[in-house]
Amino acid sequence: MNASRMSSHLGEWLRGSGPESDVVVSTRIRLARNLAGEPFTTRATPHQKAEIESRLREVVDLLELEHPLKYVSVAAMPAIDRQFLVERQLISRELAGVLEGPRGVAFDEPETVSIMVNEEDHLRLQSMRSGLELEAAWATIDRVDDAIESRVEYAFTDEFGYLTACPTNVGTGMRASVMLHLPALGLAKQIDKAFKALQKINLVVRGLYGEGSRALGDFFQISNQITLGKSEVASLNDIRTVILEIIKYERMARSTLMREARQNILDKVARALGTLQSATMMTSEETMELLSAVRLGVHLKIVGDLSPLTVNELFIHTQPAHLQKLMGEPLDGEARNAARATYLRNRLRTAGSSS
Amino acid sequence: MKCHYCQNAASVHLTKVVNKTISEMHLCEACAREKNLIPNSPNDLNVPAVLQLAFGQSPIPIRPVQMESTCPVCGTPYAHFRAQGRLGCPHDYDVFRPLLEPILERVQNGSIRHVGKLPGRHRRRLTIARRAELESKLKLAIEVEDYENAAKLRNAIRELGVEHER
Repeated sequence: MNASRMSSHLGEWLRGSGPESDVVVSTRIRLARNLAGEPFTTRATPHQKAEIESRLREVVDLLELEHPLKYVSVAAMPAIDRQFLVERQLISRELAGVLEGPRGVAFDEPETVSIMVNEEDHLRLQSMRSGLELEAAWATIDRVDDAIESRVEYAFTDEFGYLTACPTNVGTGMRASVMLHLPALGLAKQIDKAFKALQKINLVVRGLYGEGSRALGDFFQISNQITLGKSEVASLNDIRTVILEIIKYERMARSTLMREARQNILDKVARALGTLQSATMMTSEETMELLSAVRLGVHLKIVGDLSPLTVNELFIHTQPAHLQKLMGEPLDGEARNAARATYLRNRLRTAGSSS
Repeated sequence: MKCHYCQNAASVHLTKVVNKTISEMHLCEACAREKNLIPNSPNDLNVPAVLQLAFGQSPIPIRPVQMESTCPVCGTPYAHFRAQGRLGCPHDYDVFRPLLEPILERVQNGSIRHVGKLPGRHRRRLTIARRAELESKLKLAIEVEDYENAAKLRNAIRELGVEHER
């Protein structure tokens, strides 16, 4: 894996385009699958895990997808490269650091598909898209799943569906997540109201980096909670209905802000940009909050000469592992914050706030 | 799963928990009706009949599962699952079923039966079985003149047909 080369382009989910991309950053769908007759990963011996890995690696190598997959061993990878893959959302934090033993990930060059091996389940198949693309993401991962299933036998029963290590995934094994950027609802303090309805229909809200992470910069992931008793298509329909509703609220909040608090918004965006252009120390949390305001400015067309793609690039390049890859050396604490500020200053030198 | 009294598929499941020991009983709809377990309306469940069946002299427990039990395939004790939240192998779903079902019901919002995609090798077999099940329910619905339900079942059968040709 050549992380430096990878960092020079962005994964498909960060293209900043696709349907409803003013509010929806990306769509991802993952399927949890296990091999029949094998212990789940956390109860498998190192020897069994090695066997499962080599078996699945062979299967993955034989898959004929639109873009070929390349398998990399996560066990053999330096910590910074694992972190790099976490930042690109190609692997989970668990696969990177919590789990042990033989494990890995296969992904394609445009980063539309990733297949984790020996995560909590033997297989975690993921499909990623930018914008709201539930159907396309499902079609892709459904096809990948069929292709794998033609070569291995999955653990499955009529009653419980696809069997998984954790009962919260059993059934379809599907978790569909849509990442939303809701700065206007955040400013209007209406996030809680917008999310209140979600729990009633079994959807959950999380922060940017999954379970337990804080909602930095008004980015939220909405996903289905239940996997048993509801088909994939029905789940996706429920999510779509809710997401479209939230998009409507966010757009209404944006236009209300522009109508009733225009000067405040212009000021907030200009200050965010100004700080990014001149600060000499910058944490990743602060970067996230400020870029969130800039992203809002781009979509409200009050920031000139900045594309959504560039903003996404700044988001990902200022993450710790990406930053260190770009700088070509390991950096800690203060050095990293200084390097981040320098990088942002250089990238944003010419960007201006047009009012 | 077979009915406790006859060879039909069981669709009514009773679970009893006494001193950490779970016993269960499975009945088909016909036998459950005979024992007055199926209420005419959801509000008048025949509680005495249920209790009598569960605690009476009837030949239960059928399959006691202890909190101390261990999966014979992967050696995972049930206590390990309770502590870690992760099962040991696919077989655990069968071994710990009576203990797992209430948990599944809780985390899966009341549902304990898979709906959705099937692996290719299961698809054909299950479609046939499912169609037979729906057709017998449809027959019953027509017999009791529950036309609203019958229409739903007919639609479900039609959808299966489409799925089948896929």
